[in-house]
Order: sequence, then C-alpha cells, then structure tokens
Amino acid sequence: MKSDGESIEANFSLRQRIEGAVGLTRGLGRGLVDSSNALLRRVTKAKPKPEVVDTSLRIAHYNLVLMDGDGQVVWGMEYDTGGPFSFRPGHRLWICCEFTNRSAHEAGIAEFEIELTGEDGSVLSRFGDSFGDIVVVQPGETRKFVGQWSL
Amino acid sequence: MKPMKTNGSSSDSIIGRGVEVTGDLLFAGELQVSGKVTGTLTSQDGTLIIEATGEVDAQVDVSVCVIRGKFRGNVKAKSRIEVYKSARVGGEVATPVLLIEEGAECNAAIMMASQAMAKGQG
Repeated sequence: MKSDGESIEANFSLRQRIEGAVGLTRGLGRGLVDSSNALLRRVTKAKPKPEVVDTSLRIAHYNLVLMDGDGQVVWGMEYDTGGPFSFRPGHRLWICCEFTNRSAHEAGIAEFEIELTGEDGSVLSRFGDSFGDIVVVQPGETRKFVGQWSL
Repeated sequence: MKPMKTNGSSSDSIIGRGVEVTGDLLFAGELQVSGKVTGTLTSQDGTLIIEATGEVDAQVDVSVCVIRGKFRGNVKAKSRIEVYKSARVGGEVATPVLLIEEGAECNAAIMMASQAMAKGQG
C-alpha cells in the first residue's frame, strides 16, 4: 500500500503528464490551424486576378467623310498617320483634316465624320459633328475639320 | 555650314546621352535624341524621337515627332506629333495629328494643319 506522500507524488506526476499531453494536443491543434490559415491565404492569393481590359487603340489611318443634308456621303479621303501608333487611356488626340473644293461647283456639307482605322482597315472610333445647316464650300475654297478623342 | 547627313538607310540613328550637336541635320528613318541638339533637323519621311533625357532647341521638319524630353523651337510634322508626360514643349507646333498624354507640359502655339490639300469632288 502506498503512503499518502507517495500517492500525492504519483498524482502530481500523472497530472503533469496529462497537462503535457493536453499542451501537446493544443500545440498540434494550433499548428494545424496555422497551417490551414496559411494554406487558405495561399489559395486566396492564388486566385486569378480580374482580367485587365486593354482599351488602347492601334491607329494606322484616318478618314474624313463629308455628308450632305440627306446624310449621303459626298466626299471621302483616307490619310496615313505616318505609321501605326497607340492611343491609350490618359491620351488626348486631335486630328485635323482639310477639304478643298477643286470642282467647278459649290459643295453643300451638312455633317462630317473622322474615322480612326486600324492596320487592318477596320474602323476603331468615329468623331462626328453636324453644322445644323448646310455649309456651302465654294469652288477653290478650303474648309478644316477637326476631331478630338480622349480615352 | 554644310548639313550633316546620316546614312540613307532606314536604320536608326542615335544621338546619345552626353552628346551635344549643333548644326543642320538631315536624316532618314528614325533619329533618337538622348543628348542635346541645337540647329535644324530635317527628314522627308523620318521620325524624330526626343527621349526623356533629350534636349532639342531647333527648327524641326519631319514626318513624325515623338517628344518625351525637352523641346524648344518650331516643329512641323506632316504626319503626327506625340507628346508624352515627361515632355516639356515650348515654341510652335504644326501637325494634322496631335497626341498629348496627361501630365505633359505643353506651352506651345499649336497649329492644326491638314496633311495635304485634299482633292476636290469629281
């Protein structure tokens, strides 16, 4: 039979062991939670970023199109930009076109459009304006048309 | 002074950082300026690129002019001019197509001039 002293010592030793085991379990648990949190963070980080939409335009040419009061195209001309260039957000663009009436008759223009075109000739953007009334361009007279864009 | 010519090929020509040129330059193709140029710069169909470190104080007559550095003088580009945010431009600018990036310092008189006199209706 164990004495009271021996019994207390044994209990103390058992308690120490149990506390140690509990501590170890807690530690393992914490480790598992930390690992899973880290994994979660990694998975969250690995999520694909939202796709950035490229709104820039690659401009190679531009066209001036003149229309009469009925909206019929009366004259058009294609211009070269001197090589393709990029028009990006934060850019402002101005384009000036000129029409000289070299015919013997006066020309009536009600509206105009300036089209920006890509290397493949597709129209990328249009700037249009109307005069409200018909503008008469006399033979030999020159008119300027300016379009502006910003992205 | 006799004008200095770059070779007639379309290959690039470079005036590097730390180089200063004074006089009349005729070039073909592309000329990149990262140094300093004073005088005149002429090219029938060429492109002048003034890089961020470049400083040009000149009369310029080219097809395309791209400015990222400092420019003072008159620039006439028959196709287009591009002015980027690091650019500082003073003087006169004449072109049918002008692109300016936000932040560019452009204290120039701008003349929007058509590329070519358009032909009249039939």
